[in-house]
Amino acid sequence: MNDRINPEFLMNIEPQKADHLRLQAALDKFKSLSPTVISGHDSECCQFARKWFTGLSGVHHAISSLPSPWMKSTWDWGPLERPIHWCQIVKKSVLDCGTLSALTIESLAAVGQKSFSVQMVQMYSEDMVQDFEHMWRDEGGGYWTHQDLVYHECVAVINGSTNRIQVWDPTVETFSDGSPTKGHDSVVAIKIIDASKHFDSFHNQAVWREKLLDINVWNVL
Amino acid sequence: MSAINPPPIIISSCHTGSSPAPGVGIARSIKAGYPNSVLIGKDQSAFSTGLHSPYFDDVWLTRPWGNIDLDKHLIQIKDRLDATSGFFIPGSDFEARWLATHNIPSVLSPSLEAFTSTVKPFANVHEYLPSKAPAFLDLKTDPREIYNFAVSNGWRVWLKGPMMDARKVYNWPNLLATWDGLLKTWGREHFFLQKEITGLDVTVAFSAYKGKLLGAAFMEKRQMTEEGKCWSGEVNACPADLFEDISKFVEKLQWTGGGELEFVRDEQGQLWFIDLNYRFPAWIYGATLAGINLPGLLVEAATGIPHLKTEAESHQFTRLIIEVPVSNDMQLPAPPVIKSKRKGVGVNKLTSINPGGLPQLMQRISNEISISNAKDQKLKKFEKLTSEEHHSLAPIFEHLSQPNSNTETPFRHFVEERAKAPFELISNFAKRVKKIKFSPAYSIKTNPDPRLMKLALEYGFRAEGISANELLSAHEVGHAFENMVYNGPVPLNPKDLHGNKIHVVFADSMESLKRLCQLKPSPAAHIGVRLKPFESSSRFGIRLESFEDYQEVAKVVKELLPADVGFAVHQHHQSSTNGEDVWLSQTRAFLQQAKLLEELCEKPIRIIDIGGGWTHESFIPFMGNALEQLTDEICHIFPNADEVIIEPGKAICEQSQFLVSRVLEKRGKEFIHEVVSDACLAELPLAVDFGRSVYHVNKSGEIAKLTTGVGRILGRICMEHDILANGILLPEKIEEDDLLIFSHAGAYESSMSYKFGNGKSYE
Repeated sequence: MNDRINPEFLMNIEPQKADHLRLQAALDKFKSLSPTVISGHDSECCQFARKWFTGLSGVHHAISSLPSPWMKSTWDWGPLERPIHWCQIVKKSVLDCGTLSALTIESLAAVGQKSFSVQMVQMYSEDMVQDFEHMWRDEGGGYWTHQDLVYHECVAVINGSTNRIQVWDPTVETFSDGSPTKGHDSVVAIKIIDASKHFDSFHNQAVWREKLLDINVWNVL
Repeated sequence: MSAINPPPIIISSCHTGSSPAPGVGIARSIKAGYPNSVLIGKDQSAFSTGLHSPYFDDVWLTRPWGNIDLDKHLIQIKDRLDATSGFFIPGSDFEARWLATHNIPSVLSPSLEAFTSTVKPFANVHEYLPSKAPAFLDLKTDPREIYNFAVSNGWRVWLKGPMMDARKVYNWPNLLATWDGLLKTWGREHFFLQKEITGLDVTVAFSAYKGKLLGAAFMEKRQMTEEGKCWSGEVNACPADLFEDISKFVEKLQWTGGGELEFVRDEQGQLWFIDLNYRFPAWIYGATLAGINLPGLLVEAATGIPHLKTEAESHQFTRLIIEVPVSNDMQLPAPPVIKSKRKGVGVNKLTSINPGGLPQLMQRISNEISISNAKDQKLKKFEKLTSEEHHSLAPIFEHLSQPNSNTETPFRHFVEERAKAPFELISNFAKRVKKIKFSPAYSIKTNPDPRLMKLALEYGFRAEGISANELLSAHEVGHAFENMVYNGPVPLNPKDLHGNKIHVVFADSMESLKRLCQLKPSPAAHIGVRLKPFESSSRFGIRLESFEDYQEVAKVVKELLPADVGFAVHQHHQSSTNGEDVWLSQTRAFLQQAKLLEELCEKPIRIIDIGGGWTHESFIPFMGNALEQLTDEICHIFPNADEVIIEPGKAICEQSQFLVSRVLEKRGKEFIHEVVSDACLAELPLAVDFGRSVYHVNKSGEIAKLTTGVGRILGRICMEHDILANGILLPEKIEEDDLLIFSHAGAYESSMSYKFGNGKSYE
């Protein structure tokens, strides 16, 4: 995967929401982070757990058309050790954003819906970020934070065979499409991961918030 | 900055409770456009909090709407406007409606034609705007029709008046109580029931002058109060297409003044019309903050004096609660006297609606509104009977009119044709299903009347019981044990069935499942689990949600279910409470739960049993529209299944009986508002729980189906809640000894009836 900021893109976007150098430093720090993958033991413990999860996804999708509007009632958001296995997930009461996103992708796949991992950088206050770091003190601390910026994972869903995406945030169970465009809680950079080559026929670009995003690279918003 | 100031402007409705009026927002917007303008805040109560805001240069406090002399007040308004050559912007729909009949040019609000052309539910809204009106029903009709409308929409319905107020209602008793409360508040308003549309609230505020659209602002609500009023929102320019349509709308109605169109935008993007207000909305200053000053545009059009244009500060706004000093010239009224009341102690509370008494104004002008709303139709008093209803009811009168008839009322009238019809329809449906054995089951508890149980046998229904005694009674009329289904919270004791084996027994708990699996010999050819409806609070069934739930059930089925006993699953929830859509999605969720359970326990599911609780009127269309597809889905999900059992519940039998009673006493002088019947809740135990048709038969045998109204039919016993019908219009000529006949008395109304107040003891 080739991580880069497209200089042409930067020239054509609205004024920067975060200081470019600070963001660049954050992106450099988060470069090593890849979308969460749930591991499985090659035994009945993980097979049974995964079967339960995909089956339960079918139950939920029978009553809701949203990507995963039920995880918050099963798991709270919080720190989690890595790697994480299926048989551990079913016993946990707390999962992080990456695991919730990975589960959402699994849940959608169970009902035949295509979806994509999304990595993003969001802006909060430095106080809040320090609070996150404290919360994660036993699971690596601030490896996912930089000053007032934090790394976050979500899921992109598409409408039919288009390249127009919606970004579903399973941590808060809402679409990020209408979230703030600047300041607190805003998305300052986003990266859509497509290993399936879905976007190949769209010049490797997706449309989000009426903006064109390059696939598999960080897009600064 | 504008060099010339407009003449003084009176702005009314200035209250700012949790459901605020627009006066303050209009004033702030005009001040933004004309900083040196003179604005007079007008309202009917010193408790109208906005009168104390700093945006008014003067205050005009009048008597409350309930007491004010409207003719004199009209003269006062005209005098004030003439004296200053000023303008008046009303902030309430009712005041604007009242003023519209007097056509004062300097009042900047819509014409009478605008009001009369758009009376809610405004079913022809699509002729003006790119939106639809949700399905609705005028409440002046047969109570059963109202009930069926609400059931068919899954009780996601709103009770609304044509001018103001809308309340969500949840069930029949709640509907009647809400309607009663609205009648007391608003007077004789014409109410209707409207389907709720699921989606996002969006609203368009606009400003128009003599049919020309001056501007419009499109607002999405982001945060709402418990009453559904906007607290925070995002305002943008109105989309061009919608702006064009609103232009035509205001031109056609020659609209002057502010206005607000409220919509719900559904998942497909369709706009559904919800409400039209004939004035600016209370959030209007939110639009001004976004750079769209609609009151400023209105004043500019009316005066020709340009208003100061301001840049958008933000497209998002939120409300704040702040304290301001009360004006020394208009101090708060004296503290209330604390009075003991039946339900506690009464003191003044902040009212969410205008404290100046707008409901009283509504009551005072309601005659005009009703006439304009229903000018071409007479008030509908009675519904026409269908020929089938005539055919079913006429024999009652004929029978009672026989000289030697000694039949005492109250009694139940069983109509065989009505009873047979659903059995025949469902039986024919079952025969048409080819992919799998499809078995309807008759729920014995719903009505154990042997006539109905024999019909069930005749038409190939299984008998479904919740106790051994029920199964034994079904056996007495000819049902074979091997065709029976047992399904209840009481664990089945095989001894009670004298060693007979039944078709399938369902466990309501894990304890019951373990016990049933360990019985030798097995009491049934199949043992199954009743599953609690997914994420519901039902007391019935085994919960199957968490990982541990599945693990536990799968383990028991895998390890304890005998190899020669089939595995089955069941779910039951009431369609008449939640609606068909919810029933279907819940059932599909149940099928997915069962599929997962089948995979985990590695036992094929042989029987899928689903129910129930449809109304008679909803089940037949359900069978035609959805049941065949659902059966196909079941076959696809469970390729190893042998049988689908469906238990329609009261849908089979509620229509089969009428309860016949007599009028014992009529009460009221000017109009008959109450009668006492010789029936009571003992004969009609669910009288208040759902809507039913009520028929009046006079001594000449003329039958009338009653519509809704303000009357009541009281029962014969000394119980406060013994009211057989509430909110019913009684005929003026009703007499003692006339018959009152209640429909839908053939299901639980029959099986749950009891002896009370007739001198007989319960054996």
